[in-house]
Amino acid sequence: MWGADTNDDGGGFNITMTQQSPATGSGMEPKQNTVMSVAISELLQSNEENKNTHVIVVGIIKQVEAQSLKNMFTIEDNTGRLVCIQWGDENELSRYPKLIENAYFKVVGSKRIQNEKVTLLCHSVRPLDSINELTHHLLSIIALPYQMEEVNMTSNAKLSITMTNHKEFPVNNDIGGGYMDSTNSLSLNPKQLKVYTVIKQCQDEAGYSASDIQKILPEKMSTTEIEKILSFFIEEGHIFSTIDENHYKVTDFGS
Amino acid sequence: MESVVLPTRAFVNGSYLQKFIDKPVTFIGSVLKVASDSKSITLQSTDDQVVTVHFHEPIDSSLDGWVEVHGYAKSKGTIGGESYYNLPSSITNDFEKQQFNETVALIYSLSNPLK
Repeated sequence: MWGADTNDDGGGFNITMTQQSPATGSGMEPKQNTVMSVAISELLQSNEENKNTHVIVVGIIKQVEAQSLKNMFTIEDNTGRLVCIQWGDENELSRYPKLIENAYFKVVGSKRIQNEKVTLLCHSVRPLDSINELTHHLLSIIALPYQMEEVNMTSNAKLSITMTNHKEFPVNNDIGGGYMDSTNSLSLNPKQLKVYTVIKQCQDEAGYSASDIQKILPEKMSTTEIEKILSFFIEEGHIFSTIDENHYKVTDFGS
Repeated sequence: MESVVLPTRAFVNGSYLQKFIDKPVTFIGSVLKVASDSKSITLQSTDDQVVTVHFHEPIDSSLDGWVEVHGYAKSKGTIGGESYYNLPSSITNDFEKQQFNETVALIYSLSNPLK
């Protein structure tokens, strides 16, 4: 347990949220997890509760309260104090690293809001191996806005490529060309064929998400409808998911 | 137990102390000397400056190694200490002081949530 705990958070954050880039705006929730380093005040100042975002907090444990089936404790950094909850049965709780008051700990968890009170649901709690982890944490926090900026620039570039491709797509009402032959063999209905054509045309290794497809399709189709078609494709083995469960490419690389 | 936003303490080393006079600071240093009345300690900062911390109450006179002090910057070389935390050698023997100093400098040269 201890070994698993120390391995799973590795210290850094990966900005996977970026990958669903053009999908934002269509109101689709990213399904994949994101881990990021935060200052406690950042958690307390927003009312958002994103269950897919895991946060890393580094601070000094101030108060510990052991209860049956859970440990409650507060951790404090330079910006605030946060109540953390660590669940587990007797067995699990006894195997977790011992919570030590006035010592530096690193906590990975996700934010919860109950009765307007913010708590952190802990996934991993461990004492710092080295004070250098504090330095790393501070650097991660101040680097995040810059990394997000870079990521946004990349995804905008990606989007504009998508849009350019769009013009060349033979996905108008009269789907023509030899390229229909290959897709016809899949016995798709016209709507399915259009969605399939869009995914097939994708040049990007990452493939397209439902909302990418929605943007590219010349005719309006609801996200629900597209998602329905996508799950049909998955079942039939026509497409596969790529960088996450929201991005797809076609399985047929021929023609 | 309750989650609260605290007035942000600034991470400082020796050279940044004077920029935060009368403001809350977090200071990391290694103990050079505990005064005979145990109410003040002399610390060497991560950028090798000597800083004195005065406490209201006597502190542990056997304090040794690296400590983190929370308090208020009082002058270029003094802090009014409110609390201190012993940083055991198990986590400080590989402390990269230069990296920490550079991080402190970066914090105040960029716009970020730690300010």
